[in-house]
Amino acid sequence: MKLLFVLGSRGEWGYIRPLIRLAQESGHEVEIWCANMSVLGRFGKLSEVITNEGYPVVGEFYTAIEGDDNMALAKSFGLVTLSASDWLMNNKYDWVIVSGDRVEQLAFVIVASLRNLAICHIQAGERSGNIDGKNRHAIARYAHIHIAANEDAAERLIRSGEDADRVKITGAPQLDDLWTQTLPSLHELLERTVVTAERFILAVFHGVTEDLKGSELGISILVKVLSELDLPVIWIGSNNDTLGSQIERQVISNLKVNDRFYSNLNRLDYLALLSSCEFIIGNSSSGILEAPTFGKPAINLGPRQMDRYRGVNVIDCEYNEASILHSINKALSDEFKAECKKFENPYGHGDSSAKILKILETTPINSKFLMKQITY
Amino acid sequence: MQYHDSLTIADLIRHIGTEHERTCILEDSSGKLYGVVSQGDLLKAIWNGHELITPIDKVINPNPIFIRSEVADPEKEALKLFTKHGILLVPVIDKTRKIQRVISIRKIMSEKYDS
Repeated sequence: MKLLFVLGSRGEWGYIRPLIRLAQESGHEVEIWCANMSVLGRFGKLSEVITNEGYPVVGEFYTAIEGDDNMALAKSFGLVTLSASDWLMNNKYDWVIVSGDRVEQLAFVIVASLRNLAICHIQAGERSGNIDGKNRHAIARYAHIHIAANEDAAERLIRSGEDADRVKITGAPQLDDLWTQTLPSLHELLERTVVTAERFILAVFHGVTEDLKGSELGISILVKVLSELDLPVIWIGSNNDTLGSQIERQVISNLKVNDRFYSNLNRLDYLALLSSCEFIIGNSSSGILEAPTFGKPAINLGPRQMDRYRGVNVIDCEYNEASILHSINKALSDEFKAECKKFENPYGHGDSSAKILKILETTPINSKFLMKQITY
Repeated sequence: MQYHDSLTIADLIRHIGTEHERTCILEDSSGKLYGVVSQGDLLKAIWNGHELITPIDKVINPNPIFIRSEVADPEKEALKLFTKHGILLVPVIDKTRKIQRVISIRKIMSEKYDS
């Protein structure tokens, strides 16, 4: 099989990387088409990074337009379709694989569809806010196979008129590495003083650009509550630049003696912390997507993860001291811990990429398959 | 030195230049330990392309090594940290993270050999 992956941003790379590796190992021909943020130096030039790691980038396309609002994205949409149509005029593929909800993925899918190529959409059917949610469901109209992370996403696709035979539940491929990586032990973390005690809390809070006031309130209440607890807290820095440094300052100023703050931590150490903590608190998607794999409770603060499907390990909580304390007591209780341990991650079991590859290998691509019909 | 979000790499270089301790210990407005920046951290930052006017937020180590004030012999502890990690300046903090004093290995040595 010859597969083309479309890459526009770092987030998408997490989804497709394990699948690309697996497809290459299975002897398939893989190409990566890079555009938008993934080719820009100020976003770390991902296309170059992955080329250096040995991944097969076949083309780099400047399609991003400078500008702060959605109109820059609208114009950029046009540049993606221009570059994509030239590319697909001259190159043939068995499958075009897109992922997520970004506008360049939608633009590419429209071109691939006009070229009558088979399209597979990873991370299909989920809910996301604003324009991203619209993009994701627009991509679904063009995709021939929908890869859903869980039943909730699959059901949404079917209810929106997609043929159930084309909707496949595989789990989330970006979580596959949770099962395959060997993580540092708690003992090792203690020795390297990454943590200061055997029992600790993991805290990650990101500012929400659309909700500055709420974010400020949220972090000050969280910092206050956690600074009054006896358990040490390991804080992980926020990824948003402006709000990030504000949050960082507030956290550092309120650290207890045994607390730690890391603005940047490698993924293995982060996962080791997640697997050894009492619970994770804040508003990172990690509590919803990754914590269930380690059977850990996650206290989810505020509206940032509102649209994400969640399992029993998640305790939703408002920006309110009493409510946070109540959630902490619940997360620390033996009954709740036991419940989290028993429960399976709704986002998959580490074999998502293998399942997706099998689907691509076994689906016959013929005119009947390429001719899509909405079910009602 | 008191931390402020307007501090830049240049300010710290100036500070280290006058204090001759190769390290800058930062406290917040209430006197609590905020972080540490060493001469090496500053060199690395410049090597990585930061400018002299870059704010120090990205350079600070917020998890520095410190000595608790309850320790029986802080000076001895500081000498141990010097042998193990090469640390020349170490803050002594109480249980609320307030800096009680700062131990300088250079001063210990000069007192020892001058007398």
